[in-house]
Amino acid sequence: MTAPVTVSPSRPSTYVKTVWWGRLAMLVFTLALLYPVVGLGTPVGSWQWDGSIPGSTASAVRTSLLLTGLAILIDILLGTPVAWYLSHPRGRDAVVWEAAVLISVLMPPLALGILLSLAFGPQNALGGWLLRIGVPTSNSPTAFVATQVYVSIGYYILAARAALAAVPRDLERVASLLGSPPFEVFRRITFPLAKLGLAAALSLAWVRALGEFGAVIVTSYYPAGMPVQIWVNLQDAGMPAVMPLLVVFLLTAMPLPWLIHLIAQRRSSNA
Amino acid sequence: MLDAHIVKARRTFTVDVRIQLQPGERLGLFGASGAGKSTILSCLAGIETPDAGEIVFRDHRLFPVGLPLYQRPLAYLTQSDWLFPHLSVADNVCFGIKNHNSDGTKEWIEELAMRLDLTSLWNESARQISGGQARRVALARMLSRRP
Repeated sequence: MTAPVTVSPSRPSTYVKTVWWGRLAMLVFTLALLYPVVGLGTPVGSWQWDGSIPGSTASAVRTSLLLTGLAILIDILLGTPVAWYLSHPRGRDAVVWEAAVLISVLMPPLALGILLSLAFGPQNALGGWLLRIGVPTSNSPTAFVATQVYVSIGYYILAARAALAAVPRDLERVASLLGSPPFEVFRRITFPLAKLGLAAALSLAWVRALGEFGAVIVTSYYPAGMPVQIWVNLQDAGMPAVMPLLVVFLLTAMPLPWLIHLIAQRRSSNA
Repeated sequence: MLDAHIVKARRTFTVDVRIQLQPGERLGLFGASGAGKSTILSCLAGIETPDAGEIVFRDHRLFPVGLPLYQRPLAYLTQSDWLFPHLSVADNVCFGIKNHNSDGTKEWIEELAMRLDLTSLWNESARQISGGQARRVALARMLSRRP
């Protein structure tokens, strides 16, 4: 005869304590993480805004948002198929392609900027040819966008690859067996199930590109985006000229990835 | 008509079978666990690729060359349900239907829903139904294309 099974009573007080300890730990971590923002309150003198600042804040904001938007669009168009390919390995060659993407991510931005300016410079065959057909490869919107694509696409691909690889292959196979060709499988199955991860990839690439300074300052000092303009302001007028642009930078950099993330999260939880 | 010769190496043995079926004929596979029954069906469906052999089904050469999964004129009910979790029961069942307005499609889907007792959960999310219900939805999804 087996002994009766006893069920121990639930212990809500322990659970509540765990929850509150968790919240407390998160609060401490968040305060430490966001502590640098306190710097905005540091007395650095009267903040100077645009007219008194050498260069144009509005132009820097416009340049950053428009050209970064274009760079991210290119990241999505080129990076998504690559991420999809890498997430569906068909042979050992996938290791080589992944290594190539990883190298682009690991390259220090300043080194990348110097290499880009040499590889696409007018003294180079490719750079000379591009210049002859009317595509300047330094200090131009083209150079700005190309540099941003180079610095951000690796991040997008790696994050998107992880998101796409998390979708069970069996679901895609079942969809194929039900008569759906590959693109339809991606549109109806893979993308909806990976969109939260793809949103994170997009956010990562956006922030990486928008905040890029080391590579962009080498290849495209003009037109100046926000990071370069902040540096120019710091050099020419000091901290009072930096602070307002810093606030604008934070306010423009954060909403888009945040919004995308929230929308993807809400749709995923509703599905 | 199905004419198949499937050779597929497993870890400790090799599956080597020849199957010939005329239209209307039925075949059941019996064997111990791990004997290779699922391997044979997976190779026929295209989920696994045989190491050697030949598969011809209704004048379609399925192997070698390997016809893409979406072009294979067959239906396959996987061992796990693999319902699409972001879709409703209705969308799962109708997933493979290309033309909803074709003759008899609506009636066929209604009949499937009724016979497999799916009407009460038709608009439920696939991730919220029970295991038994999921099995019936997977069966309806497979049959909806009238294989």
